[in-house]
Amino acid sequence: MNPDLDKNEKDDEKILPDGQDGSGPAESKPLKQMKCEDIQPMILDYLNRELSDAFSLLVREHIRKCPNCKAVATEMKATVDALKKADTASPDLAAKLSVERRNKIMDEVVGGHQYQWVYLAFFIVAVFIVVWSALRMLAEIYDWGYKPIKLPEDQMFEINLRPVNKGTNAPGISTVTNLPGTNIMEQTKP
Amino acid sequence: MSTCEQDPGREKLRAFEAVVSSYESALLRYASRLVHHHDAAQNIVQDAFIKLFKSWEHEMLPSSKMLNWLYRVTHNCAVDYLRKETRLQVLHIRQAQETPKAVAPDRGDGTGISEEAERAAAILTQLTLREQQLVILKVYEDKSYTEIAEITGLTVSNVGYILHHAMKKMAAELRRARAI
Repeated sequence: MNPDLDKNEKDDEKILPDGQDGSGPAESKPLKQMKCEDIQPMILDYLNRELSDAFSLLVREHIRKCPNCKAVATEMKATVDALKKADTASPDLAAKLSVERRNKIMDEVVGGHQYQWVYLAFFIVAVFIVVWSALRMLAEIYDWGYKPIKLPEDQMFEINLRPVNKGTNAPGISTVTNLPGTNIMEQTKP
Repeated sequence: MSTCEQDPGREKLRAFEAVVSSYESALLRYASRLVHHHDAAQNIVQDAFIKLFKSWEHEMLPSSKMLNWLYRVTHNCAVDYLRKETRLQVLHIRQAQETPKAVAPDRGDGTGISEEAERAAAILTQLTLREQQLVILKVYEDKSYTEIAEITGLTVSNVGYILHHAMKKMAAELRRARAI
């Protein structure tokens, strides 16, 4: 049904029409043996000037002699002409983009172009924050790198966590590590 | 836009503006013929140019390769628009019903389009989107089969085959319309 145009353009000696089932170029036919059913699929290609010189000549000669194919060619040409006439009369085919749309295009591309480094910086900062947060979380879970500071005995203070009544001394409850120099409000006697 | 570091960017923007001026008409015509809607066509072409600036890796100079790329993107944007608006087949049917009415009524004074042309335009909208695309690219944009193949991703043989059947369909419908 449809000739393989690529091959026809390269090799004008061979005729490579498709078989009747449209399966593709299957066999060669000498030029003289081409029938209407072989020519008619090529008529539009002929009108569109897409055929090689040899095939164009073949189709032209066939159309001249065959009234059926001539009628098909005339009908195809009339259809194309009608389409072209419809288009030339069409009033609503704008030739240019509106000013607003041109401005919108330039705003879009300029804005993107100007701020691409800002977007990159934001991205890097965001990645840094995510990674840092993840590391902190993992450090807490697995107790990485956090060791309580052990001070010598004479630098440790006791802090009374119970309320203190006047005149009574409640024993200290717990020992809390403190950094040297920290002010402690109360101190109980051991 | 005023710093020295942005000079290469400024060059690119200037080249891009030149590309927009070169190709906006062709793309607008193509988009209008696909979607039959002025504002939608403008939006589609606007999106195509923005995508060009963001995705084009080669030099920002008008070329046939760039134009074919733009046609392809415009077609894809048009398809997205049509899918969003309605189902493609319903839209074609609606357009087929509406299009003859939308044609200029002043046929009598010889300045309007002929009945045949009106019918042809209406029948075009009844084809599948792929067939419409190929007919528009061939008949209106005068692209070769090779260029159409590059734009659509089809083979040259396929282009010829689909076009042949589309035109055959249109010719049969016109014949039927004349007979009525």
